[in-house]
Amino acid sequence: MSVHARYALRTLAGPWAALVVVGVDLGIATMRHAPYLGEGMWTVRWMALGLWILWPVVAAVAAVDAARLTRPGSRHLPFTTRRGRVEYVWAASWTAVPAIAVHTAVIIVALAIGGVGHPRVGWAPIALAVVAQGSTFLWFAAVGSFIGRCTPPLLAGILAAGASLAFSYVLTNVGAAAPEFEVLGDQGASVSQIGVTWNLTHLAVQSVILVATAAVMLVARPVERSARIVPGPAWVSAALATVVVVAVAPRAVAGAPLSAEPEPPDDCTGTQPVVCIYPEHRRHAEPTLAALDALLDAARDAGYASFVPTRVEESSRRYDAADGHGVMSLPILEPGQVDTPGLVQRLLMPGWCPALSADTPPPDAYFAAMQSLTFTWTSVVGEPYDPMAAGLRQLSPDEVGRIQSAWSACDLTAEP
Amino acid sequence: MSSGVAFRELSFAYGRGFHLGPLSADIGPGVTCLVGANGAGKSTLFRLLAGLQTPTTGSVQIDGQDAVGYLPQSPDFPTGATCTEFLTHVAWLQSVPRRARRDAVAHALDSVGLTSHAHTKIRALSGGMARRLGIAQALVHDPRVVLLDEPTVGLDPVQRIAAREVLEKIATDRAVVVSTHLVEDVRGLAARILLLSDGQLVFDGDIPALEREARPSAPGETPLEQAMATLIIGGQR
Repeated sequence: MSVHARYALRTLAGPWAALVVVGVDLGIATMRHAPYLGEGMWTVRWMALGLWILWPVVAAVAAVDAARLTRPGSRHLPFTTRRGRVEYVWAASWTAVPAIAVHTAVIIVALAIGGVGHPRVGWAPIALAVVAQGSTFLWFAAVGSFIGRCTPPLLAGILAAGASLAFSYVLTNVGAAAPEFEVLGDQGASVSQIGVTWNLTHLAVQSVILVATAAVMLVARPVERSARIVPGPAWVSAALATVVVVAVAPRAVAGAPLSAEPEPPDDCTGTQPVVCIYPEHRRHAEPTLAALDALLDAARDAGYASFVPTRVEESSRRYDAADGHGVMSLPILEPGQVDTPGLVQRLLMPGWCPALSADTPPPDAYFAAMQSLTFTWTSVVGEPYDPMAAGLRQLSPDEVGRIQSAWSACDLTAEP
Repeated sequence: MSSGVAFRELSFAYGRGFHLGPLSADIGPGVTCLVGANGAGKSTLFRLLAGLQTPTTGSVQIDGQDAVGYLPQSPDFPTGATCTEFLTHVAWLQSVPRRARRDAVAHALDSVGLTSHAHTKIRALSGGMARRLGIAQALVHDPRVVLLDEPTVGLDPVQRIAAREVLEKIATDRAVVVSTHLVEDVRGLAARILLLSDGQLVFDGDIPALEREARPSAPGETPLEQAMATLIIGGQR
């Protein structure tokens, strides 16, 4: 290890923030069994779920380091040496770079474990998204360093962490799908990302804005006045420039951060019916496919021909192949135990009918029919489903055929 | 200007309160002691010469290089680092070329007699050694001008003598300006004395000339103490 690296590790708090990043990232990576680990885009966005926790940490340690460099007995180094201005950049870099490195490494490992060889959205968008996430670490390190230069260490850490929490709410779409550009937007997603892709302009503009404003903050020094450090013209100008850019950017960048790209599943097996799933979900498809086989076999054996489709396709965001004429949809495949009644309802659901996505709910008859159909199909596999203890009865094959025929024409008033 | 530092009509005002200057002087090689009572403006003048603060009026010219070597009054060095690590970092900040950095650090440590503590952590140094390390960090880029703000304060007599020996050694080919209010430092070190009182330069000369300023009625046990007391008290009137 070089003398410079040893010095940084022994004198700065910043590099050690990488340990927090590793801890949080590993926690996120293993959370809920990482349900869609085979998806490249999902993996990157899933790993962003912990960023809002990490940003204040990164900002706080960068602030403490900058504040320590600015103490009266130390500030002659950043203020009087030939490369003095660089010392703040050096300290902030030792916060940002290790954090970016370990975060990127965890993403790469997650992609490798998920077996993402040919991501559906392409490698370039994935790389750009990782760059955008990395830019946020740099930006928050710069924010912390910027604040720390004018404040004592303890206050600097508290102020930087508080400011970062505020920024993470004001400048990001955590908890809401924002329809427009946000400087810290597109951070985190928990649902399958098959069917959407990034708006590359957003990612590129986001990275440029974050890196540029971070650079402005990193090079701006306060001034010493009457033996005290106060924000000088350069510091105030940098603060104003950053605020203006961050405020104006959302109005200048058009379009939504994500765009829909519906795609059918292309990993197909079987003949009666053909079953197609997304290859990214193959790793945990077995329990669902086994349950599907059991349902179809039982339906055939019991004479419920209308329960047996010619084709079954896994659904995804904005893609639902069910048509009421022999094609049924599987839910998005996830690890874990199969919920047979839930699977049955997804297979039977008439997703092609506009009434199901209208503002007003479908008629009561639809729900009653769905309950009876579900009870009927689960009964033939020995798992009768009657959650309301309503005394549901098993329908005959003709009754099932009548309801499904009505639903295929989007008549949801058919009663059991 | 001789090899060293020159300032012309240099002044600095703290709001409506204390006012330093205007001051003018040329400082060449050798040890120059900047003397004065607490609050006379010594540290302010040092910060102006080091470039930490911008003067209200006047200018500072440094001979040869743009960066002086500077030891602040209460240095706050990273205690977890070793002497070599710290000095290497300062050498990098002072733009010492990568290839020359190792030698520069070794030379600075040798200059202050800390070669045997090169890999000692700063927190393990005694007060005297820490002061010498402070001097070394001001020397690591081999500046023509070194500004040391009270480098012997807080040291025991033995450590103070050792520090003075270091200062004499490094002042052979560069201007070393030492801020102090200790009479023994002045007597042991100074080829030239600048005496500040209430923000004004009230004396500029050598020890014999300073001693001639002494009034017998002034407090002090030696002519040098009496002279300093005479000028300091006179300047405050």
